[in-house]
Amino acid sequence: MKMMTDPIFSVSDALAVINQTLEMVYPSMTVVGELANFKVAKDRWVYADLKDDSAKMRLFGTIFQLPGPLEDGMMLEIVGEPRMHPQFGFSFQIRSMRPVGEGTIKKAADLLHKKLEAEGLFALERKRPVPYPPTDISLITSEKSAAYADFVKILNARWPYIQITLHDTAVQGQAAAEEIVSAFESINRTAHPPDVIVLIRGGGSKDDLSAFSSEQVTRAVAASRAPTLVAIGHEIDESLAELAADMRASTPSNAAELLVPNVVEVRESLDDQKVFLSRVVTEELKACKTELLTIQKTLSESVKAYMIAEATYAERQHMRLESYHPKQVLHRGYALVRKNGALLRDASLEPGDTIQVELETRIIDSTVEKIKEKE
Amino acid sequence: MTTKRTYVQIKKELDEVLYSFESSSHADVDEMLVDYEKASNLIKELQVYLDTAEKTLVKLNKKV
Repeated sequence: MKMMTDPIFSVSDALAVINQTLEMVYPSMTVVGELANFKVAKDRWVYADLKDDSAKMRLFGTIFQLPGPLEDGMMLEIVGEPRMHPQFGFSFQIRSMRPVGEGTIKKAADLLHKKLEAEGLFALERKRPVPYPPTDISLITSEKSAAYADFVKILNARWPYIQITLHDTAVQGQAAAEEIVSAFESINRTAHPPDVIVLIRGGGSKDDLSAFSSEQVTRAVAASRAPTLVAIGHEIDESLAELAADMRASTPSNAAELLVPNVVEVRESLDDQKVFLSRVVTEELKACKTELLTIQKTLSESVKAYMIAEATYAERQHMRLESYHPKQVLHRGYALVRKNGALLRDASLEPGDTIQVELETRIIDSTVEKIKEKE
Repeated sequence: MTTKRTYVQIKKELDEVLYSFESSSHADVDEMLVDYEKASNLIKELQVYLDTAEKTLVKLNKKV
């Protein structure tokens, strides 16, 4: 009887058979372990070890599979394919990876936060003003969510003049990040971007909200053509998308309150302003009229005073003139002497000449008897 | 076509005429009476302006 012997392979064939077997039995494997010796070569290729307490295996992949910044010591869940490379031996080829364990997840989030912060995505100088109120908004959220219903209800109650374009996306799970990014890209491609892009979702667990702290969603928010308002859940911790946004609200309802004013309050304010303006203008007109009356009165008094002064001057001149009148001279007891009708001042007279002496009330015809010179 | 003068322009002209009274710069009564008439007309013009403004305010308040 012939004995069965093991087949004899060449090295290449052996590796090929091993790879075929692995592909058939384990087309995909999920392995959890601690990351070690992590490095990126030529800005593209990822090399690392995944280990536990008693074993380690080589990892190989590209930077496109990285979930974010990684460090040695982080616990990762890797989905991939075990393979034997002809030259480099065994490696576990990465299809996807994600941090696992609370400590690692937090570490990964911190690393991503630091990386994006260092790039300036959260800088205050980048924040753009959001029009208040906006005329049209693009809303990225799940149409079936309570967040959507609350937001739209409050927005329309406060300011029913706004146009809302909904981009229905998943807001949790594997597809969420990709769909949200796709929505941003679609809006960015429009000829006329909206006044603001609003990204909202209600409360949930850290896992539920993880898409909003992913690198791709955060970058999409930062790179948006239009200003962004992000309101995620009720969490105290802010998601990275909220940090990158131009404006943040604590909840979807709060987002609606921040975006638009309350039309009732605006109308009341306008009424108050109308009353105030009317009062101010009326008072100003009254003040102007009072001023004109004062000017008129002052002008009139000024002219009167001038006229009185002129009249007084004229009267004084008249009195002065009057004082020179001959009648005033006679009244003071002086006499006017005439000879042959002509007034005598110092004329030559001879005794025997006839003169007329005019007093205040009579004229005396006289004859000169004697003339005596004054010393 | 002459542009309608503003309240401020008319008031400025009135201030200039009033200055001549305050500085007693009139040479004689005739000159003073000319300025008095000018000032009175300017005051009347301003009062008409204010009356028109009041009517406009009432009309605007009814509209809003």
